[in-house]
Amino acid sequence: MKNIILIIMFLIISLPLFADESNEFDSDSILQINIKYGWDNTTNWKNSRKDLQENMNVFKQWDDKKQSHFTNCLKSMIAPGWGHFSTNNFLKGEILLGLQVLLAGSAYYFYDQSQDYYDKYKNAHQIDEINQYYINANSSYRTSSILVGLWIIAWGYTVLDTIQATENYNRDLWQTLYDQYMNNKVSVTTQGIQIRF
Amino acid sequence: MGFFLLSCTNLPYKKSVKTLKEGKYSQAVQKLDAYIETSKHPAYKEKAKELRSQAYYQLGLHEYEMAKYPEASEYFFLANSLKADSLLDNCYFEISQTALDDLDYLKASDYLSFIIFHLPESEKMPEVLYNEIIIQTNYSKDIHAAYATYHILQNRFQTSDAFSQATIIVDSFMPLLIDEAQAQWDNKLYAETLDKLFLYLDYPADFVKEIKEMIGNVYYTWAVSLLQNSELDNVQTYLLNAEEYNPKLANQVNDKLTELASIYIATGDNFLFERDIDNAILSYQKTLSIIENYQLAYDKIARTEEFTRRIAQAAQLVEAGDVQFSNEEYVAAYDSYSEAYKFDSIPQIYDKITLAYIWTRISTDPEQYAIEIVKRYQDGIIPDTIDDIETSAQKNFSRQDIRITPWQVFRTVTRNSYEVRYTIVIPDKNYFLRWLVRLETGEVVPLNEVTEELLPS
Repeated sequence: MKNIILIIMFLIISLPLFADESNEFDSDSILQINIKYGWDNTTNWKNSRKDLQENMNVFKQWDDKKQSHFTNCLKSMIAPGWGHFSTNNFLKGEILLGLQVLLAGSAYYFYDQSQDYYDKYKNAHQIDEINQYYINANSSYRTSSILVGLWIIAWGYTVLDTIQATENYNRDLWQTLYDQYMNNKVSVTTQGIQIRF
Repeated sequence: MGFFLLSCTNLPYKKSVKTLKEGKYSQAVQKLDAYIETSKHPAYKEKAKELRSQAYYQLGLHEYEMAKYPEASEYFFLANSLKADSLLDNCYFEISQTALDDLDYLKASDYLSFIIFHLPESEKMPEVLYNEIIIQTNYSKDIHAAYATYHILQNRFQTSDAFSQATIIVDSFMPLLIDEAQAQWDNKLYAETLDKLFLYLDYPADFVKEIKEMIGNVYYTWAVSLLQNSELDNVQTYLLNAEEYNPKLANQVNDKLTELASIYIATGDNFLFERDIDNAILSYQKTLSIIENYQLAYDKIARTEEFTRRIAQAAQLVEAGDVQFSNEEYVAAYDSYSEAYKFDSIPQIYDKITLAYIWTRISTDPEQYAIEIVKRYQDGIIPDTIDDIETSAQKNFSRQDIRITPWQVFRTVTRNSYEVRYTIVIPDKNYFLRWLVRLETGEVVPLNEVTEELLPS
């Protein structure tokens, strides 16, 4: 490798020897047909390759550390907000968890209340009481049903939002890993600034 | 629903990957291009670029297998990967080969240059360099560039067939390069000539002997030229180099080395004359590195060291004399200075001797010294003139008429200044001769008109 570098240096030094005229034997001239992706000169071409190689290094790390949409959705299905907590989206996870606990708890409360009214309705003997308990039982049951519906919507939303939360997490992860990689290339020491290529 | 949405995540990317896996590379490139253009997902965007590179590689490989090198090269170029490079160089080489066959040297050179500069690890490099040499020799007519390329070929691929073939080409123009060096030599551009010759010396053929002899000769003429201009610093090195590269010059080199040694001896003598002892010894020692056990140099060095010792002794005595002088021990100081003068006869010590003598006389018998100064004044002009006056008086007058009062000395108010008188009284004229004598400087000043007229200062 060292030998190759020396040869390249020698070639660069002896570049004028290779040409009778200033632009003769210009290796970039053959790139005129390859202007795609802005690679109209070898510098851009090589830089692009170098960038891709570096980004692939980051990608390998990212691929190992990224979170699965499926796993997070499963978590949110099992326990509301779990998927959000996994993606470090704690506030949203807490809100969604709280909302679902509230809706489920309320639904259960109204269902229990409707059962009470229903029992009283069955045991009542006066027509007014019978009517009133029936109305109350129905009302509580309806409320409970609405709350269950809302809870299902909240649960569904939570599961679906987990996909976006995971997506955001993975994007942020990429940026973090990319920044770390670039920062590791440039390190400030007591002896000065060091750049790793 | 959730799983449906889940499967829709990064759908264009997934579709592109699927297309690639199905071997539809052109479509995959288009889809990946579109995805890269529009995607906001940085990670998959980069991965898509890598997949696009793979797709281009496969497209290039397809063309390459059908020997469609220009098309394949475009795909490999767009693949922009090390893997693609391993075939890109082959494509460019084949294209350049075709261009060479069509005598399109410029195009051929463009492609070859690309390989040399941008694909340095190409396994085709020996052939590439060989073709470049052909172009540089036949088209550019630049044999220097061809030789530079040949050097690379030699350094990296000495065992290759391309190197053997290139040697035949270089053989044909090597005499021209040597002639160019000869022309520079004729113009006395020695350093430039040697630079070239040393470069050509790496050439592994019969010319080595010829080049070595030429290097020896250039060194020799350079050394002689420097010797003539008295620029001695590098002469010995160049002479030794001359003999190393051309042993036939041994006798001439020896003569010149002897001449150089003589010059150093003469230079040392000059330094010694100027009392520059260090440089004198340095100069003598230089001859020892030229001629081993050179007796003359040893003698000169020994003499210089003895001289140094004597100077040091004289300096010590002068120092002692100075102390004595400042203590007004003028006789002792005079002796010390005189002894010092025996070791180092320089005017400065002589002056000190004179000064010590003056002060010895001043301190012991100043009056007598004052008379001596007057008598010695201008080689004794005063006593001679007095004699003349007395002789003339004796001719014209009787002895009784002439009255002479010989040398009288009187102290003056000025320190170490005395008045010296000599009186001649004759009938027609009286000579009251008076001088002021300053003992420290030996100055004699007439004190009256008669004295001044008679003996102008």
